Amino acid sequence: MKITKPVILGVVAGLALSTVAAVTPASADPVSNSLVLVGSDTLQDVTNALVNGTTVTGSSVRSVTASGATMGSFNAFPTGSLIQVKPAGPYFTRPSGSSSGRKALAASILGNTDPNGTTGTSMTNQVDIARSSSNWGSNADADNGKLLYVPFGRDAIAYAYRASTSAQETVLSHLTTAQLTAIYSAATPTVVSGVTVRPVLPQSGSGTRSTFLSDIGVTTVGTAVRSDSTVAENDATQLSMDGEIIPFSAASWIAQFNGVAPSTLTAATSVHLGSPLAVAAYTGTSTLAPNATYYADGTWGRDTYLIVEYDRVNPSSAKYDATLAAAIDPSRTKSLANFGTAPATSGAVKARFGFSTPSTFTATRAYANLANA
Amino acid sequence: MKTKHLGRILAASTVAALMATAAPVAAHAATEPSAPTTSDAPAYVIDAGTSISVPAGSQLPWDWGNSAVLSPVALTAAPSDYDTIRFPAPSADVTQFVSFISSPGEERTPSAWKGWSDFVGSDPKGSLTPEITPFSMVNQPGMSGVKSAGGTFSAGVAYTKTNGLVVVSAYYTTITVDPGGTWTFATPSAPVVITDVATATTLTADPTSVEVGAKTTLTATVTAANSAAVSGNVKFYEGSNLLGTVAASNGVATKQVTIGTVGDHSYTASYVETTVGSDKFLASTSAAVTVTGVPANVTLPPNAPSENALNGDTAHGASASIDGDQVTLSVDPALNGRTVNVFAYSTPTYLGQRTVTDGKITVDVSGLPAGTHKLAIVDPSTGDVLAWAGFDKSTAAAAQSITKQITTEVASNSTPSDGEFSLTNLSGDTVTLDNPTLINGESVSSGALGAFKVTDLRVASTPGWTLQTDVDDFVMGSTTIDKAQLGIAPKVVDQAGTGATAPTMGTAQVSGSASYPWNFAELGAGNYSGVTKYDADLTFTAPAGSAAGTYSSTLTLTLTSK
Repeated sequence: MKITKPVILGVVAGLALSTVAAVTPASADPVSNSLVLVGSDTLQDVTNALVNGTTVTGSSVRSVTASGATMGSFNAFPTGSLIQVKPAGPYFTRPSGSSSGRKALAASILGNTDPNGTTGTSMTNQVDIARSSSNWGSNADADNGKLLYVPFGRDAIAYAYRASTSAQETVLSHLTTAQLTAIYSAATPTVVSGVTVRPVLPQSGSGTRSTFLSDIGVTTVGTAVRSDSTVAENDATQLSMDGEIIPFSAASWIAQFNGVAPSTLTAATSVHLGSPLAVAAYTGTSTLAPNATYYADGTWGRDTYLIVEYDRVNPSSAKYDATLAAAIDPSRTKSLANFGTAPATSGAVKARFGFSTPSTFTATRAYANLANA
Repeated sequence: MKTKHLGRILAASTVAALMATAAPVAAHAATEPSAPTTSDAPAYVIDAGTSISVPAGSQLPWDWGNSAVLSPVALTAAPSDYDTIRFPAPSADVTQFVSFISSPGEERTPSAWKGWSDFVGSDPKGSLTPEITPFSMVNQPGMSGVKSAGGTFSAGVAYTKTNGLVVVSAYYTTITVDPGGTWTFATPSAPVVITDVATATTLTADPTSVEVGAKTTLTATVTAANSAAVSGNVKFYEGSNLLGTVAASNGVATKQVTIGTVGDHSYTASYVETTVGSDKFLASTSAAVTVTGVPANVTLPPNAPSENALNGDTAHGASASIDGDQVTLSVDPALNGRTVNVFAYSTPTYLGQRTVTDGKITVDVSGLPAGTHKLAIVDPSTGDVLAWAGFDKSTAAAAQSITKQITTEVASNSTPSDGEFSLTNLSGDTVTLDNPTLINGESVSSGALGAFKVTDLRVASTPGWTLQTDVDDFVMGSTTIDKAQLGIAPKVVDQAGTGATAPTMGTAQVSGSASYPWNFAELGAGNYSGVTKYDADLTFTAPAGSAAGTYSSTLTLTLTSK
């Protein structure tokens, strides 16, 4: 393969806002002067930190474009709110989750109207990168895929539960895959060893939800499950009573616990992270880190992705966009797709947010027909 | 997939391969500048991904994806502890760090910067790997001009306060940018890396058995683990007492030590840590070496025949002549080659052994009082008087300072006779009072006079003696300090001799009110003192306002017979 010198784009005019991001978690929702990221809640904290700048590794790290322009990463919630992502751009419905982000990207490519709401807004060129905590499912197409899934980092799915007694905790801390399958298929709350387990699911666009249901083999959710469009993923405050359980990203739990991402754990009551495996999802007590054994599990570990339009990163295409290509080039130490370990790299930032290196560095094309995305 | 060439793009199955491609590519050859001298510390460009130094002279793209970051040290491997490559922690009032690119000389003027990064909150541990890759300056009012026109600039990190308006400290290197954006950077010259070098010190003494009052030579040899020639200082100790510090030459230092007392003396030598070039020679101490002090070989004079053994004014054809203090006794040439004991009378006084040569012997009679004397030569074995003659000594013996080696055997049934009377210096000729300390505004220095010996074995005549001390004023150039500033406290180190009488010591002279000449010690008539070793503690107080420097004086000890 021939590797050529990167094309240098002209300098983007205008001054970016300085963002102070010393120890407080990064905030989101600026109007971007270059690329725009939307989608999964699972990835939002770490991408917010990267594009807004962070010093969680000790070194100042900020992912900017090859011309020095800053990017914008937009939160997944609140669901149904409107966002304006580019200067003078239209307002459209905030994509709340992996599939909503993917649909928004597809609509942005196709020039369709807002797929996540009823605004009727044209989405043309509004979204550049979709954050996705789930993979392409059955839609891989190595020859004709219009989208490219670029590995971002490896997360793991576990579940959070609420327990205020040690008896509840003993039962809920370790529910097997088979028990979870039964619990999420049942019409009424399941009683396990005398403890009533009340299943909850994040809203339907959540990548964490779809991955979890896939992991436990549930296609038809039981009526015992509480779920609606307002249940945010990776939000411990969604657990409103003892016995409730909800799928949770282990990376998000670690990041929230470590204080590098806005924490829902401190506001929640008696919440814990349970494990369907023999080992816990994390190690440590005061500072948490991914448990490599858990993350490596073929069922519960999961790679996460940044989705882009394939043509925009294919230099043979008329749509080739060097800026976007550089932003997801893992060889660039501060790109969104880097997996480095030195403090000045994006990879080191991801580790602080609970993401380990993905199982593969190979990007995958999917969705030959964007209308199906 | 039908891509003809893939740049920095991602396609199915390409991401992993791209991860290995990071070599900078030269489009132009920007000239490598020299390192700035105004940075608060040297700044080295390292690769953010590998955390090792970017080779000097590398031509880097404007938007180099590996990212150029700074380190206060050059790195050949990623550090195990990144805190070791932070730039020094700033003072407490620093609130923010920021990377910048500026024209040379404007590093500390934020309003003139060409571009800068985010301001980030300061970390008390210091800034870690701040990025200077030009594209990363998200605030870039002058960066398009830097890229299009090129030139020489400074790139680094500034520690700021007052909302970024005031730069407290700045660490940067110089970069040269080609029109178009390719750039290179200065690499500070490598600082001298000081390396610890272990040393070993060995100590020998020669001789290891020494008469009290005599010297041994201590030789310390310092060797370095890297075989380099060692210089620096060696301290010699007896037990824990520092004897002195001597500069080592090629690793060897020697010191002569006078053995003051009978018994074992344990010496060690310690090399003092010294950095020479890049070698930091570490301290080392020798094993102890023992030198044994043995009693001084004080020999008693032989007993003299009675004066009655002399008959008449001459005997055996002998005659005496005096020339100054030298008396020559002419005898029968048949005695040539005979070794004889020489005595003076009427008070029997042993003057030493002589060998008759050309029919005569010569002796020094400076120790005798004025008057009429007889000089006899005696067979050492039998005590028989071989010859004698009379002579007149017109003046009293002058003060003297002599050392004599006396070897004799004792004849029985004889009258005791006088032995040696002498003053012997047992230490060096120079006394240095150094390491002055300021006490109440006055410079006070002290030291020891050094050992000396009075031998008075005049067991028969017992005239007594005085040991007088005189001191000159202290002089440095045209500046003089009165001799009264030198205090002397006399002390007896050793007193030996059967039947001998200890002399009376003089009253210590107090620094500042001393008066000279002064009697160090005195022995009254009717006694002999045997062998007495002395030393004295000296204290010199320079009056307030004296010019600093080294003042010299002469102290004279004079032993006079009564």
